[in-house]
Amino acid sequence: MSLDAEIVTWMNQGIGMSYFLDRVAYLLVSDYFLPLLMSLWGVGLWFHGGDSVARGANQRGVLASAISLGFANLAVLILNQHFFRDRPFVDHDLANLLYAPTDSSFPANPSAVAFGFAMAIWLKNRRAAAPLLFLAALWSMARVYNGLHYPSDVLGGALIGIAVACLVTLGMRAIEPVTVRVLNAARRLHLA
Amino acid sequence: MTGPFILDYFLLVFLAASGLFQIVGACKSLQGLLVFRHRFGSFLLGLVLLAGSFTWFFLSDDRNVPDTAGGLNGNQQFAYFFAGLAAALTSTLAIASLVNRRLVAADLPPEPGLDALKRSNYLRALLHTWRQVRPRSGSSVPSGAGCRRPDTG
Repeated sequence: MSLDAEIVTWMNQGIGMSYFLDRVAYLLVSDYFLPLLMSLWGVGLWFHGGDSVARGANQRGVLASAISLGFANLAVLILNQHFFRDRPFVDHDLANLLYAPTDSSFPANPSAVAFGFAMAIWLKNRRAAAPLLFLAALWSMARVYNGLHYPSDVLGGALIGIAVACLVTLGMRAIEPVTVRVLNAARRLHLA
Repeated sequence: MTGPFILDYFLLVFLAASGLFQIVGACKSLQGLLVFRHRFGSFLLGLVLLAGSFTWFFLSDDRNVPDTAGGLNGNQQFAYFFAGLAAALTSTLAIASLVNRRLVAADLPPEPGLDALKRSNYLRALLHTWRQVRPRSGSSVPSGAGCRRPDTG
């Protein structure tokens, strides 16, 4: 058995041991809980900042994170056309609290979008991004715990997300006048 | 299941975002965003809305539903998140403008951006900006405007 499979099998043994732990895992692995929590954190960050300059930096980070999320999703979609890896619960006898996805296990889409989102904010405001990175790691771990991904899947997804976020941030520097226009328009509407 | 699930997700985002706006408004002293005059009351309402919406959504039904069986795929989540957020922002600003209709920066013009909401309600701040930006109808450019006065010295 590969190291990947050994880790998944070992972690997956926790399912069914405690009702409380299962409920927590059910929540953490959900497609709706952590993504929404992270998105709301981003919305809150839009309003955060001691002055308009600090707030502007946060808002640039939020814009970059939203764009990174889309591009990370696209990158995984493209990779899925070329690589296919069965899910751990298909290859091994594992318990699963989520439904059984049929798409490729590698790269992990949740890790790619979550780390892409968090990293884009980290490049602008490290303090504000720390909880996001924690939530991204938690979501990725929950996916492995539930036998939905191998550790190498989430690692690959995270690296894709981080790379996309860096590229998007660089790209936004290249089109800074567009970003300034968007933020100025929002400021005129008293929304930024 | 798609219809009710979409509606439930939209409601979750709407309520959670509405709560978040109250918390942010209370913490950042953005009175023009608050639906109560007292910041603490708004903060509490925000907490209740935020926690209550998540509790209701995840405890009322099985929510780990795949997109092939009535759940939402990533793109749909993105779209409904923004729809819920926009609805929450619009309703919050409308209600807060009504509640804070007397909140007007006395003699000073509203500050630019979000800071205007510290001393003014949203509709008044928007109206002030619009008056500044719109071209004045019927007024003509004064003669000599834009021309340099010839040096007399």
